[in-house]
Amino acid sequence: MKLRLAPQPLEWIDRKSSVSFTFEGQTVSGFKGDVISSALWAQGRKVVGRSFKYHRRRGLLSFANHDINALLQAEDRPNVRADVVQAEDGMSLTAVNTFGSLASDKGALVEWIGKFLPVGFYYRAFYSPKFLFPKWERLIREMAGLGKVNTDWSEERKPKRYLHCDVVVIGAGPSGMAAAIAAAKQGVDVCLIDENPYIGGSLDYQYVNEDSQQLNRKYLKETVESMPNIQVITSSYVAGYYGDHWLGINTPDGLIKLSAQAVVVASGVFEQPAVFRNNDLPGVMNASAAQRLMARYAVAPCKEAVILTANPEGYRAALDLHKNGLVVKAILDTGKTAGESVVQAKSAGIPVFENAVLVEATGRKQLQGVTFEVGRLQHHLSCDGLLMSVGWAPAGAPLYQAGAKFGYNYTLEQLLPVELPEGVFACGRINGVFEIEDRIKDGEQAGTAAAQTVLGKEALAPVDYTAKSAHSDPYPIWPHPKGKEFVDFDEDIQIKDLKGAIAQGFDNIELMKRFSTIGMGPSQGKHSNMNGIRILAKLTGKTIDQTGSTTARPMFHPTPVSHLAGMRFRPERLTPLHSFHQQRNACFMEAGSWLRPEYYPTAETREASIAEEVSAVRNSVGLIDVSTLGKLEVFGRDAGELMDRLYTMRMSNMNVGASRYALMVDETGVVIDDGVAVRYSEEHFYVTTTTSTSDSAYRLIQKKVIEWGLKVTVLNRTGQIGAMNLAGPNSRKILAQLTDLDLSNDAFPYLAMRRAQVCGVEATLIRVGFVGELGYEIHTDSQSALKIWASIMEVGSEYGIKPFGVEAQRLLRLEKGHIIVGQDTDGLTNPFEANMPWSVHLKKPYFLGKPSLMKLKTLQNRTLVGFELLSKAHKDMPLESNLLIENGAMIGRVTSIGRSATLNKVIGLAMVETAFSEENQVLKIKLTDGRFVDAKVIKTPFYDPQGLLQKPDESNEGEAA
Amino acid sequence: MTNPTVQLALKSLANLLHLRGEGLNEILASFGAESLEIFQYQSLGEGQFVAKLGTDELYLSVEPSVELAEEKNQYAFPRGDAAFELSGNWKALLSEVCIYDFRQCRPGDFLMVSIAGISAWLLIPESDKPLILGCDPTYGHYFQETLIKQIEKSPFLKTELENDD
Repeated sequence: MKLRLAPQPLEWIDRKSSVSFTFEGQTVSGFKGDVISSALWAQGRKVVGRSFKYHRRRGLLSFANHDINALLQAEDRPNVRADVVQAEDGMSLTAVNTFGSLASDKGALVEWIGKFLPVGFYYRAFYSPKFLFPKWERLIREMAGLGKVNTDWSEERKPKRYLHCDVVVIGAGPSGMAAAIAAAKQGVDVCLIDENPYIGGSLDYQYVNEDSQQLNRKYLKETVESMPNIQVITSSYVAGYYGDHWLGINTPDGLIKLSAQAVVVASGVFEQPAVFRNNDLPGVMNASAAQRLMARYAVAPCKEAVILTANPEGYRAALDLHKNGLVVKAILDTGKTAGESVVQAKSAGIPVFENAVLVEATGRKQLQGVTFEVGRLQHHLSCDGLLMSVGWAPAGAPLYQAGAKFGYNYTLEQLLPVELPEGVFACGRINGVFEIEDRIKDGEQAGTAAAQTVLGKEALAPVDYTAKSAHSDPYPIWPHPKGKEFVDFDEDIQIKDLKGAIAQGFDNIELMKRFSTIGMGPSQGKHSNMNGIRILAKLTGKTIDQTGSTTARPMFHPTPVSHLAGMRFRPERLTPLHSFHQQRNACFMEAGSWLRPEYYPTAETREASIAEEVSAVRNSVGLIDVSTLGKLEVFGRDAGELMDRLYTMRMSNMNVGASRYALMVDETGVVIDDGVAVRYSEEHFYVTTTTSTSDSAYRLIQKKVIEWGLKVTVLNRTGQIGAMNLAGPNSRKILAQLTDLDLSNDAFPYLAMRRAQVCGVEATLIRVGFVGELGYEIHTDSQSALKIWASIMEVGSEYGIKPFGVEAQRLLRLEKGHIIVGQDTDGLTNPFEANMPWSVHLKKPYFLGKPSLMKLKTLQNRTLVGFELLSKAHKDMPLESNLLIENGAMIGRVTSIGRSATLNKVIGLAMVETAFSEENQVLKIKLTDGRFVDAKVIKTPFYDPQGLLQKPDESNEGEAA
Repeated sequence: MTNPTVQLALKSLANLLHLRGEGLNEILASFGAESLEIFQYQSLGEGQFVAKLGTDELYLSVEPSVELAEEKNQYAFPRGDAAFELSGNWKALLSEVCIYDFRQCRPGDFLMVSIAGISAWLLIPESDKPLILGCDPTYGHYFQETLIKQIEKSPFLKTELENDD
């Protein structure tokens, strides 16, 4: 292996285990623990990708999860980040964004015509001639983008997990570890999060060769591991900070939603590249990238290095190379750095050029040398590695998202947090603290303060550990007349592109970003924003603070959609009678969160099965599961008052043992619910709601009870009570065999309610006629419902009883002209429009929606009408929601429609403009295919208009008891 | 379930009742549970318990049933809740389906939380005992299926298992 070093003290690789994979068809070997990039680099493969726009050869730059030119295509996923994804046996990888191969990429032709493709060219081109645009679009789509998504892959979802702690520390470098320990020592629960597989951070690559840090390292790591109240989460990053200290943490296994009471941000800094001609040649990289490559994977960044630096960290990197036996040709200092590492470097015999400027990298396919000037004298050094250490930018995404304010510190030449939200703390290099001992103290201080916030203690006045000298060059940017000085390696943005954007008026940081696309690539500006800000500030004559910064939105790194989606929780309710329906092979349908039998397949077709069920109800008897109805118990001193206020009809005058239609409207008078109310006692009502509104009705009623200050209790008993409707001419004969209750018309008249034992079980019986036949709703506790149902089916077999489903019920009620709230009404329908003025008792002192209904009574401009189809051809069957058209204008829509075997015609309900609602009015229904069929308005109910069948042999009108 | 980290089993609770009304403290006293705070429960042995949900609200599982005082407007509503027993690292499982911070709860707490999108109640046990939890019976099937699926597929639970090793 060409660039593999001797074992390093803290290396992450296992030299006893090797891995082998292919890259661009060639076999690559590495060690277990190698990331893809380190394995490639160790073999001397310095070209790992092509750039986005010009398809220039690119190598490693930051080696910190934002090496955007090292994105690879794997068989099962695109855009694999080679700088952080571990190499695995059998991987088959290719570079993304190439036309041909990485070695011979036809896309590189773009560079030759680059001058015709200035910044933002796509905003101004391709508009005319218009007919060419689709061709341009195809070409652009082909050229743009990186990896290819394999759309054949099936749905993938990863679980999400909630995690709670007192203090979360982001970043497990020396400051973060110290913060976690300090907080944990206060007795609070701490989570320590780091995106690397091991804790340690820069302590393990910038100070790996410094004996003085061995004690610190041992103490910090061992203490973190030994404290039971510190939970360490590695290989995971904070994708976003949200309100109230909620963090989204992306782990390899899925997303964690973490809630903390205090947040310590010790996320460190991003090293920023210098901007000079050919700064993108493979071999030019950040010095910290080189240090990570050596310390973690024992791979040399090069054989002969030149260091370009503006800080002691660059000198330290030079010493690391020197210690590993690599040649350091020179250190090019953009200023005159002082300090111990400078002395050591000079003592080691490394030549130092101070005040170096006008740097230029040379080489064709990869770095071969560097040219620079000192005191107007030009120098050239041959090398295969140019390591840049010219400055830092805060890894401040969590702070920005938390609402922290940053200001530019001219001593450090770095943006620092100057205002932090409550419960949020920063420490370490992001805080401008660079000396290692100070970073540890700063971490301890932040961790202690965070814990004290949690414990409600007063924090001590913070000590300022900010560095006293610059660690960044104020302008590490050297424009070149021939260009190719890259500011943004994601999008191939050069200095001239930013100049062009500014010249065209995009001279605000957010505008410049969007026009030039700087910071909009996969790394989201992690290595380009700071230089972009410096360039904009210089060209507009503003300060860094006046120039501002772009917004750091979540996600911090690209986060898989499968992680964001999480597991799908879709609650599904089964009625207490579900097992029976299953035994009868019912075809189920979703009704809100419920599964209900649509029909029972007893005939050859769906329609025939439904017709059989309808016929059974009309001619003998049928049984339907109505357990999905909402069921509310209302009891207490003010129960009658509450019922009066909630429903449009008067309820407080109901007799005990009576039932009444219960229609609810909202404040605007719009119908929102209907059901049946019964009165158990003076202070106790039981009321049903529609299937889909039980929860919303319950919430509304609870809110109103509080608002109105009534002494009443409302319980939602929907799931605790099973219910069924026994309907048909023979229903009474069956029920009579199962109860001792007197079912005669006199003793139990239409619309009455009785509580009795059925099959030895307590039940509530209500004589209602939703389907227009003699019928009994039977309500009982959920455990007993199946017993009653089974007994009814058994006794009913003598009468040919059939269970019937939702579709049969819909048809049966349509024949009676009964509405379904939400189907025959919409979000604007009031009771007058629904043709139910009888249900509104405006003489009541008050009910919810009364003021609106009083006005709406005279403002009605549409009406729900019944109609029959004039065509009998089956192919002309309209659908619900088909429109009614008159003279080209819409005058209404079909709300319900069905073919009534009982009446031998197609009937329906339609909401039409009042002018078209008169009986015998011909309506033109526009079918889905555009043809029209005629229908005629007729009176409802369509079936048994006198209502004689639901109260046979009875003279009583309405409720009794 | 056979996952060694966490196991789910159906639980049968006798005569579940929801009591509302005045003077319920006397009923509590009849079980020797007069000192119960709101949202605490007391185990009555053999799987029976009584929980205080408010000054005028109790939830209990007792055999035989309780006698109500009509003059105090006491109402009893039978419940058929689906009930389960979760043993092992139940907090790890629930962290995937419930937002609640279980660090706050103590043995003897009666919790009402949302789990996998539905309302559920929990009897927080002593540290070595299984958790009893229940929900509306119509959601029982969904609840059980969801928890089992989570137990079988969760990579987080596998991690917990590895850590235990």
